[in-house]
Amino acid sequence: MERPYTPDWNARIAYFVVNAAIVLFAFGAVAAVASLFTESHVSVHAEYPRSQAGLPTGVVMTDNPTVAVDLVHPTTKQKLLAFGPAVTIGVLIAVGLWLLRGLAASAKGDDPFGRANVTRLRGLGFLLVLGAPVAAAIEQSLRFGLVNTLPHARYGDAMAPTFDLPLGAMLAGVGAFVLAEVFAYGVRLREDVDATI
Amino acid sequence: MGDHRIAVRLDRLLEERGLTLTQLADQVDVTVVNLSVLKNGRARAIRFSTLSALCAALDCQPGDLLEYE
Repeated sequence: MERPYTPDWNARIAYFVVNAAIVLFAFGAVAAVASLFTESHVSVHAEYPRSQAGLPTGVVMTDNPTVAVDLVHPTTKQKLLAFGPAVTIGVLIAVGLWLLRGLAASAKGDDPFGRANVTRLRGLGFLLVLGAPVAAAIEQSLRFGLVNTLPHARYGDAMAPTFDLPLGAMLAGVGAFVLAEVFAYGVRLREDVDATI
Repeated sequence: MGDHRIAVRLDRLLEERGLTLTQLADQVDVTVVNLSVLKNGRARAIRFSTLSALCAALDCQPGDLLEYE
């Protein structure tokens, strides 16, 4: 006998949390765009050669130190280069949140095992497995461009931070792909049950 | 059409027995919508309980109802 699906509080809480995250993200995006026009400082993330770090004798730095260079009165190009990484990551987060919202809404509703959720989960998978490293590469090239605008006479041998592949996000993407296939199987089972007389 | 070659001859049996789909639905306790799905070949499977009820109501054998095309 088929029992009607009744979502529990977890589904409602997840839906609320995702919507709250979307609202917070929207406020953050507006504030970030506003800061582009109002801020007279830009924080540049850079690295310095560890050989230039003044440490006591016998103390060795294993990695280049990461620093934030406070750039006063940046040029428009510097502002745009500094803002670029936020746009790249922002687009990724916006799409991800929208897909999550659809998933949470269907879990709160009465149709979690639908084809739409398979598409959403596959979308999340592509977003994390392909989108995250592409966004990281774009972010890296923009940071590289920004650090290169720093005058050597004042800021010395500042370098762009080392590129790190977002392995965690990519692994989460693989998880989303696996879940998508589980859902696809669930959808097939449900269609079989629905078409059984 | 689905991924099978089983045809349901419900329309022929209904005509031979002089029954409508609604009357049959009342007898076998299956909704008209579901019987219509079965009649039009859109069903993927049929429960033994439904098949038994249909055979009882139509006074026929499962082979009269189902055919391999």
